[in-house]
Amino acid sequence: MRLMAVVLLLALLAASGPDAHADEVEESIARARELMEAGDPEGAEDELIGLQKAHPNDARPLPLLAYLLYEKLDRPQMAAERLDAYLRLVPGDRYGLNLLTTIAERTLDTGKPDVSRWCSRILMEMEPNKKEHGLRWARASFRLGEDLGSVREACRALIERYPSYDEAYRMLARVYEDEGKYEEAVAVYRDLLSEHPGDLSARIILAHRFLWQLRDYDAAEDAFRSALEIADTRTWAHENAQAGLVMVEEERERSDRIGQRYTFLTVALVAVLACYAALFLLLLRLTKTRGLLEAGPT
Amino acid sequence: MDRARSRAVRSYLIATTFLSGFSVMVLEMAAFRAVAPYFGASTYTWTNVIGVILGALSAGYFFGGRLADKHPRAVVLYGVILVGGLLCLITPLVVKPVALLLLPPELGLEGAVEPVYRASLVATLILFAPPVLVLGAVSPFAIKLLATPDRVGGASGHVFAASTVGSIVGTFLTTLTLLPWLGTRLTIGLAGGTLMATAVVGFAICALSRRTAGVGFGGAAAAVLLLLATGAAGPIKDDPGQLAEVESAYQYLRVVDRVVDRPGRAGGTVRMLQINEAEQAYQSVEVKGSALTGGRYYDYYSVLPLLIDRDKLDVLVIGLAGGTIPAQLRHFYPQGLHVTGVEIDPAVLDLGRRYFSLRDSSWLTQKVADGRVFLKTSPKRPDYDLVIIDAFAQEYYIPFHLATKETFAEIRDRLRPGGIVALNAAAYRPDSPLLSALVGTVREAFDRVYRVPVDGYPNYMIFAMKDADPDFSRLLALPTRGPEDWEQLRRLAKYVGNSAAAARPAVDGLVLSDDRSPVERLIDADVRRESRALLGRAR
Repeated sequence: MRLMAVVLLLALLAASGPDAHADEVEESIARARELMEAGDPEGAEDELIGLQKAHPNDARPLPLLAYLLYEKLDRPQMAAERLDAYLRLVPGDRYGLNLLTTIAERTLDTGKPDVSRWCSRILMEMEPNKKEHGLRWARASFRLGEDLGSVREACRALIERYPSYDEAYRMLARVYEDEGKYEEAVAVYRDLLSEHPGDLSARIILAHRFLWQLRDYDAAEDAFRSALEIADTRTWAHENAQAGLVMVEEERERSDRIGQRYTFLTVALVAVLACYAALFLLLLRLTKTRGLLEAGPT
Repeated sequence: MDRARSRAVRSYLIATTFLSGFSVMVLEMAAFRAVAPYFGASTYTWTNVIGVILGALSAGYFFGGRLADKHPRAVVLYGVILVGGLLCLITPLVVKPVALLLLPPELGLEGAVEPVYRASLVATLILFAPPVLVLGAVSPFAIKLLATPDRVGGASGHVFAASTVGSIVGTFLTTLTLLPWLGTRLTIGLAGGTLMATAVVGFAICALSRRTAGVGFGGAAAAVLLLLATGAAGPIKDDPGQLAEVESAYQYLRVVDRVVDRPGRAGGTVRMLQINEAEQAYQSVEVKGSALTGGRYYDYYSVLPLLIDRDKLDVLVIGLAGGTIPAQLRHFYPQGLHVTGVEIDPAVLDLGRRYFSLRDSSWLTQKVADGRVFLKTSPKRPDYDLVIIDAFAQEYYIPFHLATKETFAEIRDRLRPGGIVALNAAAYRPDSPLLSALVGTVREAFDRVYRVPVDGYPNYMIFAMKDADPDFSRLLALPTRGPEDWEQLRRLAKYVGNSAAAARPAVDGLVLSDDRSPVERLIDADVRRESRALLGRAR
């Protein structure tokens, strides 16, 4: 009897141990999945949230909850927060990182750059060797239109760490251009080209900046010519560079015409005013009478 | 001293000052319209015209008084008026050659801005200062002839009153009747003819002699000839591709076909509706054989409906012009589209119907009205999915009252949730003060404002969505379709999706309001900066 009581007690203890808990969580997750697939995402959400409250330190519901929140309920910020919590419990989990990256990328283009930036910041901490997260953070911040100084710093940090990362140069240049700082932008393009001399797109953009923003026609011409030298014929780059050279020449001529016209108008203005001065002197002479201040008594 | 003593003579002298005042104001009002097609209608041009005319009047008063003291005879006064009338009659015939000599076209907008200021000043000095200077002599001369030692004050009062009343009549008549009916050149000719007739009658009444009769007859003949020449004068502007020109109550308009063969631009024949000097700008564009306009800012508006989640599209366009925007929207989104277009100048709509795709149709409602008045008087209901402000005064100024926070608040009330307001701003750089001001102003009514640079043109499209954030992914993955114009739209949509960024106003940026909206100053600052950069490069 005593032995049977001990066995029975041991069996009861086994039934309420870690394995039982594991079954409960798995069952709940399975139920939530069924609800989601049956078209009841809210029900699935309730199930998972209830599960999370009951087992706050269990990471297993979080990926499904995050997926549900993002894909079915269109709540990317909440999804990202769940993934953040999950990844702190299960650092380096590939599924969680991939899903968070997906959210970060998609929200950048769907009018939620603030969510993208938040996700990218988390990803930068968790995967510091992945430069794409830093760039995405910069792009999201730029989309938000805030704190361009931090965006510039982030880009510079990426460039310092990854000197060949052309996208970081482009992002930095874009920030400078958005601030109207074209000299700085041109310097960035030059740095990019020193790392990637064959980058035709950068070379042509540089040429356009010289032409239209800095009005440095000589530098623009050099840039277009260097692009022509390395571009294959009948490509976009070749045509653009050829067109660019024509535009440089046209702008040079226009600039000279404007300068000549301005000089002509200045001379014309002086000449006209001189004519009027001479006319006034003549009229003064022709209409000479006793001056008003010399008038006799009234 | 030859003093006019008879009542008739004295009455005619008063009438003379009335007619002189009338003619001076007609000349001043018409002067601005006469130079606008060549130098624009900016505040700088206005300043030059008014400044020069006031200066010429001052000189005329000064010398007129001296002349009157030296030769106080009515025959001299009417001789002066005859000369003034002749100069007036000659002016319309020489405006065009003088203007083109000073500022030939094709310097481009930013290239012309700095020279325009000087050119309009020189032109006004050459064209309008001489007749006004001469006419300025009339009032002091009339006072001299009318005054008696004990009634100088009374004589002065009569002369100034008559002259000013004449100026008032000239002001209203010119704006309301003469310019719309006769056009600018004949209006100036009318002022000259009035003066000539005044002089001839004056000779007859006040100083009839064989000599004055001869001079009067000669003057009358010259006036008739010059008026005929003015009436027969060719177009105000002539370009090889010019199809029409109109002087409306608001501005000088013309329709011109240009063959675009510029590297980096979509080529072909481009039909443009232009106003005033039109160095580079246009109010409507159609590219032959294409639904789009070769990458100009109009095309960017056609991308915006892709961001709006609706089966049907109700659009309000303020600044309908020749109908470029509705035509594009109709081409790409014909199902469920209705456009309400508001245009202040009926002459523009007329040109749109005759030379562009503007048609009376069930899907397009055309309203002749000021855009702001339309907003104020139309029902305050969220009736629209898309509101586009494409109104411009002169060549490139957004009308100041259409760019205020109050305006955007009114527009917001008319947008449905998820609806978009969009406008185009001329700006050469993203740090343009105008852009910053517009962004800050739109943000007063909308949470987030986006800005897209128009590739290859000095424009930015600014837009904002009501109560939602735009889903740019809709623009980035459009399916490829067969027709070329849809392909172009797809590429443009991708560009917009990648380029749109939330815009920030400057830290101390100006918010435009009904009380203070210095749009012209902001635009001029940007264009002049670019112009000075060009000039600096040239020197």
